[in-house]
Amino acid sequence: MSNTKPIIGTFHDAITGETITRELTAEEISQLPKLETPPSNEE
Amino acid sequence: MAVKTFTTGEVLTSADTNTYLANSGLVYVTSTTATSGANISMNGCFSSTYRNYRVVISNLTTTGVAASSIRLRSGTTDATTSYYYNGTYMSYTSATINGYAGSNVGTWDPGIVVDATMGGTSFDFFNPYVAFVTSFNSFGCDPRTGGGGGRFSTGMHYANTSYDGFTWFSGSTITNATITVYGYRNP
Repeated sequence: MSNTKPIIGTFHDAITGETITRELTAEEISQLPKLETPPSNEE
Repeated sequence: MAVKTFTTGEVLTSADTNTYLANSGLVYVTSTTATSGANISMNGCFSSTYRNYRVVISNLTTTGVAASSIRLRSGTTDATTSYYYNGTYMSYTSATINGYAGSNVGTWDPGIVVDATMGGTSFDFFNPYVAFVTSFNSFGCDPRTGGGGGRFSTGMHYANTSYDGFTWFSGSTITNATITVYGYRNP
């Protein structure tokens, strides 16, 4: 059993108005952008 | 459409009302609210009805500080290459202008920094549904206490492809965010 915390995404369909929240697929997770901490504006 | 001026006592007809609704400047397309998760995908929000779009993110809070990012989307697939942009940011205590850029990278950095402090922002897409280069710009706000400030970003997605949606990656865990999409009425 994996201890990896699932990554959740929200998906809104503008045509039907339906919004679902689900775990991302492995393919979606593999394509996630790299997380970045923004530099301070004072730097 | 010429703007009609109503006079006192004049009847506002359904025809006039419908004409004004059909000819308003920004027209509501869709909206959703998330209170969990990391990302929000807006599917099918771009169409041939409008050429350009304004997106507003409001009541935005997350569990941590992060630089959010955006990708255009076709159906259920995000476009993961060909983003070009640059941005500037300044603090509230200095006139010094800082900058950042990306060339043929996997996302657009709209300068929208998220934090537990409530924030909000807006950004525009130009020609997303047209099979042509999509350009965009944003007015982001870094809400951090200490280090916060204004952020602005502009750029393009360099591909002759039609997109009907986008994904906003918060970079953190969303505790509240409402995304609303408006279309700019075509002339």
